Parts: sequence; C-alpha cells; structure tokens
Amino acid sequence: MSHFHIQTPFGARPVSEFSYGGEVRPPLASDAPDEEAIAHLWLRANVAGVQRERWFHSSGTRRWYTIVRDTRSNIVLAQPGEEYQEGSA
Amino acid sequence: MSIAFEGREVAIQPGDSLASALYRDGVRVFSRSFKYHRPRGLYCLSGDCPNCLVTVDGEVNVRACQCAAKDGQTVSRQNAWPSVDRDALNVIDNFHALMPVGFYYKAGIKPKFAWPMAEGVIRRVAGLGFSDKNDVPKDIDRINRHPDVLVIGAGVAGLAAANAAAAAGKQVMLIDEQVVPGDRVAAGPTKDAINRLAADVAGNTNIKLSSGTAAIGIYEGPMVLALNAEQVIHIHPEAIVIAAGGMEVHRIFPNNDLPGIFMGRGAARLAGVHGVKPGERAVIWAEQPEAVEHARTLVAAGVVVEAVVTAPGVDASGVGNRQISGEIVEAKGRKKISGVVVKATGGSTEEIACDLLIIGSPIQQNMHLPRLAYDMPCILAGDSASSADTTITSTSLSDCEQSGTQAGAAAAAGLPLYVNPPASAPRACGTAGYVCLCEDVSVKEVEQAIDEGFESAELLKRYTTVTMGPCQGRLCADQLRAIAERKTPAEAARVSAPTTLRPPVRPIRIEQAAAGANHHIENHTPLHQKHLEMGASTLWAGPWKRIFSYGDMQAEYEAVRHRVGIIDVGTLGKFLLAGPDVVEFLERIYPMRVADLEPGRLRYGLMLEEGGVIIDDGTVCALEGGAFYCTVTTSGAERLESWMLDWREAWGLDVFVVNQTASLAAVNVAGPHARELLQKLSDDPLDKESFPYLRHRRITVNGVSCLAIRLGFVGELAYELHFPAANAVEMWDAILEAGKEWDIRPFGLDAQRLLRLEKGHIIISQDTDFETNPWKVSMEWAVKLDKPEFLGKAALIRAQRRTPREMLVPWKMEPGMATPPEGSSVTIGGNLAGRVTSSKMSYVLGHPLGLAWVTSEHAIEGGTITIGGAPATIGSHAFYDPEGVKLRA
Repeated sequence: MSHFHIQTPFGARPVSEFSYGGEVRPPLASDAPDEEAIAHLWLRANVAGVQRERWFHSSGTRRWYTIVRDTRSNIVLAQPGEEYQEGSA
Repeated sequence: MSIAFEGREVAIQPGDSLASALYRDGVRVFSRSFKYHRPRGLYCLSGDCPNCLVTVDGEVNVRACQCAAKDGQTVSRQNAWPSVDRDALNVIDNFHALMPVGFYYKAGIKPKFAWPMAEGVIRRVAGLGFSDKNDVPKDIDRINRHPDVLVIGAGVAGLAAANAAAAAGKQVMLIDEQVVPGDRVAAGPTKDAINRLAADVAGNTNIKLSSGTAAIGIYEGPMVLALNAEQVIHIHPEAIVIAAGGMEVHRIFPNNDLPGIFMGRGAARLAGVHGVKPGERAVIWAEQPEAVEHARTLVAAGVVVEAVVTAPGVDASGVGNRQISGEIVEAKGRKKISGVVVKATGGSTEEIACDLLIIGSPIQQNMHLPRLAYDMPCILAGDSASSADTTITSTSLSDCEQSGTQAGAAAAAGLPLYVNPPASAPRACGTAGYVCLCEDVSVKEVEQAIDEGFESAELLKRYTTVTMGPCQGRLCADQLRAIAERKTPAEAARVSAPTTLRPPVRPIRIEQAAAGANHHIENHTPLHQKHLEMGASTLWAGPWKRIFSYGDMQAEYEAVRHRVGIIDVGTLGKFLLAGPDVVEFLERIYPMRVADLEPGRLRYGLMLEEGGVIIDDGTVCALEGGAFYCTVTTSGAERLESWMLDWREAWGLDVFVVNQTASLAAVNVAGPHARELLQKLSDDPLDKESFPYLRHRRITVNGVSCLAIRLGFVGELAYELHFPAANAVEMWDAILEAGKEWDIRPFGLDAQRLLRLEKGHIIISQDTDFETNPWKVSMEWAVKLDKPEFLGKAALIRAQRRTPREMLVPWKMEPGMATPPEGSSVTIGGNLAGRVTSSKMSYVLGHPLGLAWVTSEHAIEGGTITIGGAPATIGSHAFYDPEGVKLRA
C-alpha cells in the first residue's frame, strides 16, 4: 500500500508526520577529488527500487529515522533499527 | 417558482435541473460551439458533454443538466452574438477553411503587427463564458477524512458496495455527485433497487454518505480529492471502490452534433425523471438492450417512436412503429435534426423524418477515475467495471448489484494494488462528423492534422486540442485513437496508444483549487497582542507574523539613531547546545572558530551547507560550564534544528540540541540611551568596562533573569535580552515606561532594515541566493580555512580557485536622487551587470543606499555603476559609522 508508517519509540506513525530527508549516502571524504565532491553535492541515485533513506519526524518526536523502502511500492522493508537483508523483499 | 432567463421568466418544478426547466420551456439551443458557432442542444444530461454550459448568477460554465434549478436564479447562455438563438457568428460555420486546426499557430502570425488584432478577435468569438472580474472568491475549507473504505458513486453498485463493506465492520464513506441517490433515475426497476439499497445505507451508522460531492482525482497515498459546494475534502481511505458508472459511447456521423440528438440515458432522464418530452417523433438507435428500455420510457412519455434501429442481437420487437436492423449513418437538418439516414444490414439506405434521435450505443466505463487509480488499493464495480471496448454489454441490474456487493466485501478484506487492463481497442469512429464537441473539431480536421504529421493520439491531442476541453476526453478520447489508427494502420499500436488522463476529472473553480490557502499556522511571539494594540502592521517572515511598522517608520528609525528604541526579536531561532562533544560539533557546523570562545564572549557565525552556500547566520555565545547558546534567523529555527540533528548523527557526536525558540522571549534595546534605560531597571553593572561589546552576561532586569547580549546589528549601543516568554509582557511594559524620558519607540522590521542596511549587513535570502558563498559577499573574515574540518570547507577551497562571476557590494547615490526599487537592474556602459537586492533612503546620511550584485570585474570600491539610469558609487562595507565607534560605546 502506498501509504506507510514509520516506527518511532512512540509507536508506528503515519508518514504524513515526517519530512523526507533524502537517500542515505556515504559521507564525503575531506580530500575527495573535485568530481567526486561535485557528484556528492549535486547528484542523487533516485532509484526505482530499494533505497535506504532518512525521515525527520517533524510533527512528532523531532528525531531522525533511517528506513529501507521500496520506492516503487512504498513498502518499508526495514524499520529504524532493523536489519535489511538483500532480497528479503 | 421561476428563474430569470435572458430577460424572461421561466417556470421551474420541484426536482428540475436548469436543463429540464429550460427544455420544458421550449429552449432547444443551449450553446454555440466553440469555434464555428454551430447550435448545440442537450446531449448527455449527465455532466459529460460541453453542450449545456451556461452562466448562473455570474458564475460561468455551469452545467445546466447538473445544476438544480432554484427560485430566483439568473441564467444566460454563452459564446454567441447577439444571442444564442440568432448567432450572427454562425457565419464562421461556412468558412471552416479559414479556421483550420491549429490556425492560431498559423493565422495572424505574420505580419507581426496583425497578431494583437487577430488575438483580440479570436478571444472574443472563441471560447466559453466571460467571468465577472469583480467576483470575490469564496474562502473554501479544506478538510481531511479517514474512512476505512471509500466508495465513489451511489448508484446500484456503489450502494451495494457500501453496505457490504459496512457489514464487514468497516467505516465507509460514500460520495456521489447527486444530492439524493437515484434522483436522476427514471421510475422503474433501477430506481426501485436504488431506493431499497439507499434505505439500508441510511440505516447503517457505519456508512457516511456525502452527497453533492464529486471525486476529481486520485493521488498517491491513496488520497482522493473530492469537492462539494463548501469544501474540498482530502479523503485518505485504506481501500477504494470505484462505482462511478458508465455512459453511452459518443457516435460520430455527419451532423452528429445537431440539437435533438440525445444519448439514451439523457433522453430517458428528461422524459422519465422530469416529465419533459425530448421530442415528438423519435428514431432510436439501439445497439444494446438498455436502449430498448429507453424507447419504452419515451413511448410512455407520449413520444412517437418512428423506428428502432437495432444492432445484431438486440430485440426491440413490439417497440416503436418499425424495427430496422442496421445503423444510423447521417443526421439531417440545419438548426435542429429533421431526419436520419438509416443503412439497413442489407446495405440499402433510407431517410426517416424525425425530430429526435436517441443514441443507444454500448456503455463504456467512466474511465477517468479508474485510470487514475493505477497502483492504488482499488476495485471497480458496476458500469465502472464494464469493459471499454465496442462489444455490446448487457448490464443487468442483478449483475450490477452483485458486482457492487463483491467489490465492497473485497475492499473490506484488503485490496491488491489496482493495475489498469491493457489499453482497449480504439472505438469505431465514423468518417465524418464532430469528434470533439468541446473544441469543435471534426473528423476531417483530425485527418488533416495527421496529414500534417501529427500522427499519434498524444500529438493530435496537443495540436487539435481534442480531449482537452471541458469534457476532458470523455466523449472523444477513444474516437481520436480510432482515427489515428485508421490513417496509419501500419503503426496502429504506436499511433493509437491512449492519451494520458490527469486530474481534475470534473472542472474545478480557482477558489476550490486555492482551498485552504488561507489556513496558515501563524507563529506569534508572546508580545504579538501588545504590538497589535499599539497599531502595528504585520508581515510574514517564515512561519511568523512579524511587526512591519507601528505607523511611522521614520520616527521609529530616528528614535534608535538618536535616542532609544526597542524591537521584539522573539522570533529568532534560539538553541541551547551542550554535551561532551559540543565544541567539536560547533567547530564543524560553523566556519569560524568556536573552541577559543571564552565563557562570556560571543561571535557572529555564518552557517554553510556542504557546498559552501550560506544558509543562515546568527550568534554563538559561550556559556559557563561548557554549554553554548546559539541564535539563528527567524525563518531558520525549524529547518536548522533538523539539520543540526542530522549532522549530529552523521558525525556520531554526543551533543544535546535544545530548541528554546518558543520558550524564550527576546527584545533588543538599541540607541545611544540604551544603557541608561536598562540601568534604571537593573542593579547589575552595565558600563563599558564591566559589560563591553561582543560580551554577554546574565543580568537581572525588572526582576527577571535575562541573558543579555551586546550586539550591534543596528549600528548603535544595543542590548539583546533573552528571558522566559512568560515574562515578556511585563518586561516590554517596564522598558517602555522606563524609556519615556527619552521618548522611546518600538520599531518594526521596516526601520530595522534601514538601520541594518546603513551598516552594510546582509539579510540571508534577501541579499543572498542558492549559490552565495562567503567569498561572494566579502565575508572572508567569518571563515577560518585553517580549521581542520567544517561544513562547506572543501567547497570553499574549490571556489577560491576561481573569481566569482558576481560580488555583492554596498552602493550609494547622491543626495536628492530617487531610491531605486529593489530588483532594479545594474548596468555598466549600457550592459546588464547585476541587480539590486536591497535599497532604502538613508535619513541620517541623506542619500539612497543599498546592496547589489555586480559582475566581479566591476565590483571595485569607488567604482561607478548605473541603477535605473542613475549613477551610484560602490562602497566598502558600512556607510554609517564605518569604524563601529557607536556600537562599541
């Protein structure tokens, strides 16, 4: 179902309470070459598929949560703190 | 009871729509067609065609067939001169060649001067009603609903679905465009079934029926957008049942648009529901069994059925004077239908005189909502579930009810995501006649467009505007595909691919589109009411309503420069940061040094994102015991809180970030007498030696413990006091009272902006944009590149290698010159060289000044630029008190 919930310490909350924080990306090394740094700043994978991503619970706990979601189905494959195994969808 | 119709009274009866009342009164031509001004009459009576758009009480493009007639309404027809009945513009119908498809791309373009004239004429003769320019939009509410199951359509299938879902224990919301379920259905078995099912619905507390409510779109979530007269409703169901019904297929043949040609359900509605005879002598084209029922309804209403023309498999025996197996190939007549040409199955043709033709073509689903439901937990029921091809469908009442019951039960149990079936074959389409009634496009014109190279339905749609009118393709989308396929059979699949459907499914008024636009959450400081009582005007600043002025900006300004003023700065974002890693954290967040900040000191800080772009600014105060107090701009608090928390996790640092924006009030007392004023209210030493510039102290003012910060953003001696919000009002009153001897004035943002501008201070996002780094605004002093790590450092080092394209510079003009508006262009030697971001007239300096982006080669102190034709001189930073003597006082 396209509407989904994210687990917080106060239970599962509807996604409408959260603001999207984008895909999780590896941090940029301080000595990264220009091309890598520019890609880090401006380019996003924007996958149609499984994505690890950040959500800020702006209308609630005011904390960040990391989930794994299939962007095609909006099915949450791993809630915060859960392990996601490749192919477990 | 009556309505006023173009200067005369028209009687109305209970249950009348405007269409039925006007038709009973003898009105036959309801509109003139979009381009050729052909007469058009009632056709579908279901809100699906554009023929009955009228103006009602000043509101244009109201569907007469969908609008209940009410006593006292004023109704008129549209798009005709001098009148719809005798439309002189109908002469255009004789000159189709002058208005080919896409003529607006072709005609009047050359010579260029002719286009404005051509455009004016086109705008007058083409189109629909004229809206009332003095109309005041209504404030429409936007509300949310969260049913378990949403059922769209309260016909037989929809009512059955609602009952079934409720029986399974679900909370059901049932919406329908009509005010009462079944009130547009003629007496008979269908009406009986609706009444029986509706009684069950009414008796079930788990079902909420919202009538007069149309679903106009389905969006991800799923979220169904629905409208009624007062509200826009966002419905968030777990499952959706679409029982939005079906309609007869639009049939295309020569003169298929003449008044007197009706779709079967429309004619049955007029005769059976409203008791209005649609004509005297009818020919029925019965391609499916339901049409035979319509024929019986007409006979019962006293219409003489001259002939029933049947498709194979349809039994019309005993109905009408004759039964002919065959099809209708042409309609005759000029202003209204006078006869039809029937082609019998054997191939012979004959003409039959009539004043009424009923199109009883196959039922197709109302396709818009199902097409929008892709990938949603949705199921179709009733006519909505009927296939959209041209085979004859038999929608028996019991099948319909059963499909609804099954859909409702399935929705209650949880639905899989709906996937549209593969595109159906395009519908059969005649070789002449009007494909598109909305935009007035004939088969011939579509074929011409294909000859010009617009082969596929998607391109034809854009070029001919077929499917883009008020009916949004209900009548014509599949017919357009059929013509495309016929003309390019070798590539049938490509050229006839269905066009994309988009919401809104029904027309939506601008005021409805803007529903909820005024539902802002307004943040107020605890002093807001005080300000209003003093006659303050306000403006938006992010989520806050801030004070613009108390009525006399110059007096407010002069109080600060010459005596003392006070401004409410409670909107600033205020954060307390503490924890073992707080210094490391702030060193990474800010580009300036934080580690060496001793308790009691403070420093101005920019905030940069990873790309080195300035996103905010504020101050950092080092507190005793290792904690820090940071302020950010008014609109930044929410955003920067989540931003700081995000980086805290990314870096894995042990820091607490406490947002005190709402719990603390803040005021800035500024001006040469600020110290004397506060000293009246405080026993703590405030002299220059005990409490110098760029220091903060905890002092007691008027009995309240405050964090006092000596800042100078307005360029004068100033103390910013931060204290519990609960004490705000008494503090404000006490300071105003104590300041009376210096004629203290509260000042608003308007005065503050001038005070800041005279000091050359930038306002983030007013003077900066999404690519402004510190180098471009000459704020190298706020960046310490020798720090090991901070956000944006690598990007700033990269940016250092190149000269920026533009620099932000302060400028001034000579006294007596007019202040150029913000946004003015900067030119040098007649060439565009930048733009003004801030500009004001300085009262103390007596000349206009401001900030502007200027191309780097010209951004030289003392250089001359031209703003709005007048010369201006580039300065260095502050024009007022450049040495900063006053603020250090």
